[in-house]
Amino acid sequence: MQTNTAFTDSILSLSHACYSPQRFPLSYLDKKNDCLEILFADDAYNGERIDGRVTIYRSIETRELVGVLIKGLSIWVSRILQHFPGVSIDLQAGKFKFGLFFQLEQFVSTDPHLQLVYKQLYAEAERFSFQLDSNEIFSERTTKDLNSECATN
Amino acid sequence: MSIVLKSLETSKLCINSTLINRSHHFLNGLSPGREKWEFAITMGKVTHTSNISKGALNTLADCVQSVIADSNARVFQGIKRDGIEEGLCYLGLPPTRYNAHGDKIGIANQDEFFVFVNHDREIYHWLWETVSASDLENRFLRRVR
Repeated sequence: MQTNTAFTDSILSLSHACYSPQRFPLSYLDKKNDCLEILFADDAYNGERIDGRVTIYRSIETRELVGVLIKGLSIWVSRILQHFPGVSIDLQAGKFKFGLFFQLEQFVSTDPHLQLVYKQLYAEAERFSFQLDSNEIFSERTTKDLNSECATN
Repeated sequence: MSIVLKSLETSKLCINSTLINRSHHFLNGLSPGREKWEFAITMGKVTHTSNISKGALNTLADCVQSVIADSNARVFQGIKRDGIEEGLCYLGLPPTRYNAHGDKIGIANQDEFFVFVNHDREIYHWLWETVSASDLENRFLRRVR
C-alpha cells in the first residue's frame, strides 16, 4: 500500500511537460459510479449544482462555463428519453452527438436560468462536436431496454 | 437550521478486496470516526486528471489528500438524488487552491472542497463549491462528523 508521500509523488510525476490548448474537450465516463465529466477548458472552477444530477463548472476568473458533471448518467438519459422517445433511434447508431441531450433538457425546462445554462452547454458541446458511444453509456442497460422502458411509460 | 450529527452506518464502507487486484492508487485518510482509513482512486480517474492540467493534478495530490485526512472536515453520508445513494462526502478547507498552471491562488469566502467517496471507499469525484448550509441539508441524508 502507498504512503501519502508516495501517492503525491506518483500523482505529480504524471504532469505533462506541455499541455496542448487543443486537448479539449476532455471527458471521463466513470461506468462504476455512472458519472460523466466533460471539460471545455482548464480554468480553475467552482461547481454549481443546477439540479440533483447535473453540476456545471464555472471559471472562477471569467464565470464562463468550462465543464459539466452528470451523476447518474444512465438515469438522466433515460429520463430524457421518456420525454423524447424518438431520440433512441440516434442512440442505436452507436456514436451520437451528446449535446443533443443538453438541448432537449433546455426544451423541457420551465426555469429560464436552466434554459440558458442548457443552451450554453449545448453550444459548447456542439462547438467541439462532442460525441459519445451509446454502447459505452449503456453497457448493462441497453438502448433496447431503454426503448422498452419508454414504451412502457 | 443546523444539521444533526448521526451515527455512521459503515457496513458497506470497506475497500472491496477485488479493488486490490485492479488498477488503483491508494491513499490514507480518516474515517468519519477519525480512525485511519485507506481510500482508493482508479488509475483511469488519475489519468484523466493528469490530462486536464498541472493544477488539476496538484488539486488531487494536495487538496483531496488534505481533506480526507483532516480531522476537522465535515463528513456527510448518503447523497439525495431521486433516491438515496450510498457513500460519503468529505467537506473541508485545504490550505491551498491551484490555477491551471499549478500556481497557488486565493480561496474565496464560503468556498469549500468536496470529496466524494463511494461504498467501496473509492474516491470518485472532487471539486470546489460555494457552500450554503441549507444546500447541504438538501443534498445529504445525514451528517456523520
